[in-house]
This record gives sequence, C-alpha cells and structure tokens, in this order.
Amino acid sequence: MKGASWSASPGAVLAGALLLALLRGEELTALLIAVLVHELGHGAAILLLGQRVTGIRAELGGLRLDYCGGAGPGGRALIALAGPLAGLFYALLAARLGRSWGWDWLCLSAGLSLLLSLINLLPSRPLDGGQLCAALAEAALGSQRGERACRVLGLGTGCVLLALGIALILRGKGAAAALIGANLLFHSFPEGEGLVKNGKVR
Amino acid sequence: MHRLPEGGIGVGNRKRLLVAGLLLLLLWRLLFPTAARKLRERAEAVFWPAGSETVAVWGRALGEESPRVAALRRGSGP
Repeated sequence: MKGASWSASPGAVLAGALLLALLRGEELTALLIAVLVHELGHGAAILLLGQRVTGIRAELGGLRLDYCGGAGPGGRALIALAGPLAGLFYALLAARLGRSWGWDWLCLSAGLSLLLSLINLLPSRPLDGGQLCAALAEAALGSQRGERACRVLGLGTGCVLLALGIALILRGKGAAAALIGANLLFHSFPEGEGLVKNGKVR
Repeated sequence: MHRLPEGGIGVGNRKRLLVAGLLLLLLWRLLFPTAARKLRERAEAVFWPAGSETVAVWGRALGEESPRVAALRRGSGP
C-alpha cells in the first residue's frame, strides 16, 4: 500500500476514544483483530484484482479503503464481498480453536467477527453489502437506475433496522440496533440533498 | 478571548491533541478504575445489556461441532 494516504474523521476519533474508554482490554483487542481481518480481506481482493489502494480512511462507522484501477462492477462486487467473507472465515476458525483450546478470548473475537461480517452484509450504502448491491445493480440496471434502486433498498434496510431497534429498546435490550438503523437511514440520503425531488426518487 | 487561527487547528497540533487525548483516556482508566467500570456498566445498559457475554456465547456456539460431524468423527455413522 505504498503511497496510500491515511486519514481519520472527527467521528472516527470520537468512536475510538469511546471504545478505549469503555471496552475492557481483551474486548478491544478482540474487536481490533476482527476489524483487521475484515480489512485485510478487502485489501487482498484489491491487490489480487490488480487495483491499487490509494487511501485508508477511518470513519465513524469503521475503516474504509479507497482504491483505483478501473475495476468493473464484478470486481467491485468481489472486493466488497471479500471483507465479510474473510471475517466469516476467521470467525469459524477462531471459534473452533477457542473451543478446542478453551480460550474464551478467541470465542469473543469469533463472535465479534461474525457480528461485524453479518452487519456489513446489510444492503445499505455505507456498508459492504451496499457496495455489493450497487455493483450488481449497476451491472443489471445501469448506472442511474441501479443507484436509485440501491438508495431505496438502503432506505428500507435502515427503516427496518430502526423499527427493530425501537422494539428492542422498549423491551429493555438496548439502543444499539436503533443507532445503527438511524445511521444507515442517514447515509441513505444523497449528500446534502433529499431522497425525493419533484415526486421522483433520486 | 483566544481565537483559533484561520483554517482551524494545524495538522501538527491536531496530532498532539490526539495523542494527549489518548493518554488522558488511558490515565483515566488507570487512576479511576471504579469510575471507569461504573461508566462502562452504564453505557452497556444503555447500548446493549450483557452484549459482551452474548457475543462470546455466539462465538462458542459457532465453534461447536454438529452432532452429525461428531458421530462421523467417532466412526459411529449418522
């Protein structure tokens, strides 16, 4: 990744500070390993497909790798899928080893990696699932219609997750799902503009 | 009142602020472990009660061998 730029948004700094303040050491390292494996999955796919990593950005929702090299929709879909697949593979391996060795930390890391991978497969814009949908929709429907279809899908996903999250809050299960749903809804809208203009979805 | 320079805080100072902030956080955890633990418990209650334990259970469940695989491994067949 020579020549790649590194940056962190204020949201990422805040998220990092919160994790450092609130998580136990073993939880923090388990999470960092899971995130590292996920991003290495993306990185490996980027390099294997002949692309070049141009930037690594830490954002509120996690890490993001920027790349260039003219990957088509198929390539972009594979790159998007590679992270969750690497995470799922690591989750299985860590879970098996954790059970065999009786090492609870590995089981925790496996669970975190599983959760991270499954959330990232949701079809919403900032997530890998959203990138995957965007690439497949572009290939199937063309650029504009595909983008619009993905926005609607992302909006629906955010709404469902937010509704589920509100139900969980009412049952005393915490605000995590609602916060994630709200974040996904926020990212469903084109930056600085509304979703609908003149009666048409953008 | 002191005003920020035009363009905000410079890159060098931002890095120093970041390092200082991280060190303060670590100091907070070391010097006030009880307060840190209570804050963690409160945050966990708001965000995801028993979240860490739940995720660890998922990890352990993922590592469990299915009965069929266990039977095959023992050579007793399905």
